[in-house]
Amino acid sequence: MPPAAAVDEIVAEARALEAAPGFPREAIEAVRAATGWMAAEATPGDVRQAAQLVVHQAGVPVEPQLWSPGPLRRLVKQAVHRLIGWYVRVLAQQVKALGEATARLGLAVAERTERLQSEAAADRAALSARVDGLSDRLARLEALAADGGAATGPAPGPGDAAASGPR
Amino acid sequence: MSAVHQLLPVFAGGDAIGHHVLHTRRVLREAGFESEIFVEEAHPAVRRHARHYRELRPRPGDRLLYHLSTGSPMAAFLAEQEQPVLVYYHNITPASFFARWEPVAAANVARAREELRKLASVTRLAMANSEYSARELRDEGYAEAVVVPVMVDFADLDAEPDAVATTRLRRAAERGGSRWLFVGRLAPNKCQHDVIGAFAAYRALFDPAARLCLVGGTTSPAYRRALVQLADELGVGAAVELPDTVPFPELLAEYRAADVFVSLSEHEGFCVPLLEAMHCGVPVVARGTSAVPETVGDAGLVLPEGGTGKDPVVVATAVRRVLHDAGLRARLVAAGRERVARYSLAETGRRFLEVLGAHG
Repeated sequence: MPPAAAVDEIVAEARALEAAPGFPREAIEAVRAATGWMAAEATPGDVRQAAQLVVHQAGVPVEPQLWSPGPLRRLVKQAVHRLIGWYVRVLAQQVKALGEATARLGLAVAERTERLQSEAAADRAALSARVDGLSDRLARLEALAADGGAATGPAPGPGDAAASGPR
Repeated sequence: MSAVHQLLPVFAGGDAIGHHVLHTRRVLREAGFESEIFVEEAHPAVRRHARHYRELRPRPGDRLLYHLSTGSPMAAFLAEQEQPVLVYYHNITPASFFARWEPVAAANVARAREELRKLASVTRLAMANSEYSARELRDEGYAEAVVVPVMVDFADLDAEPDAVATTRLRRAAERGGSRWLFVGRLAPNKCQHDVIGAFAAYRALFDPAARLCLVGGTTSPAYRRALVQLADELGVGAAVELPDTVPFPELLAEYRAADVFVSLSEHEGFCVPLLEAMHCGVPVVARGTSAVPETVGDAGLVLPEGGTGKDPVVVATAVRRVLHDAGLRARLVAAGRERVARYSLAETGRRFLEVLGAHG
């Protein structure tokens, strides 16, 4: 079988595997979620992805490359590293802590925004249901009025209460 | 005697471009050309082979062959020369891959693409490592772009692997579990995160003792940190090795010990490690993006280019198939060896001289 045909079979086999009982759906979905945000085409404007990136960017490597082609340069690098290494480590920890705090802030903003969006969506849905209910009711009343009008004469227009009263 | 001098921004020596440049110089000299290498920066191991590009004093009739893969002031320098400029395009990774992880690298590759565009009008002959890269050249305004595959001496891979690494890997194999391998710089376009994801799925579905080795230097430290965290988060941290660049004999040991080579790269201009794996008899499972289908041909399982091709369950199922279907595995290994023969040093050197001769 040529490799291309085997690939078609493999894709079908993978789909069947996912549909089979006992498939570790939760674990696989966790894999998809964890790798998805790292893709180049990851959703632009996604606050959670941006916050995760802050954590990774805030990690400062405190053990730099000390190798150099010349022995003098190598010695200077090593000496500077020994002299200021302790301070760089403190700074790196501070930057990392700042990154994590910024990410937490980003995630908090994201959570709050999502909650507000969800509440607004629920309000919109309730309002929409109420408007739909009122529209139905109006349609029913209009139909009722039309039925009554057919039996007794033309339906009353808006604000035409006197015309529809007993004569 | 006329000369064809090569120019490249960074001469790293141990990478595919460095090897290509050294092989090209040998082929040129054997064909009777004078040929020197001029660089902006050179790794100490290969510094003796090169001179700084500002020392270049070309004579009338000389040709200047520029290896383009990154941004460099050399592009502007070349545009000012009177001698004919030849471009060998190794491909430039699109800036979008680095935008989130390494904004400085993103700016550099964006500048490189701009330089590529500007050189189009002064280039006498444009060569590319694959048809995929040649298409990019044509899109950027190069009237003609010819495919000349990268020069690799696959015989180097037949050398003796590192004994210590071989023993360590043999002991690991005795504990059971298949061994996945990918070789390439840790960079967002290589999508090592998808390899780790597929590997985690493979362990969950088929082989809890499987191991993964991602060999390659770091292009983006932030991306590397994210990979380590991803592996831990998915519970496979102890089974994933990220040894950075390794000495060549250790790399040989890795190729010999691997059961499967998995590439889920989203962008490759050619991807030499695919052929190296084939040469070492390691079956290849690869996502069919950019130049990968061209390089692999029918000598590997080429998964679809879209999302299906990187889906963890699909990749895990493909690897399982390759490892358990002895017939398919044997066919892929045999086809891989045939494929590599098409890229032999003799063949690529002949093609290079043929193209050079045809464009006088």
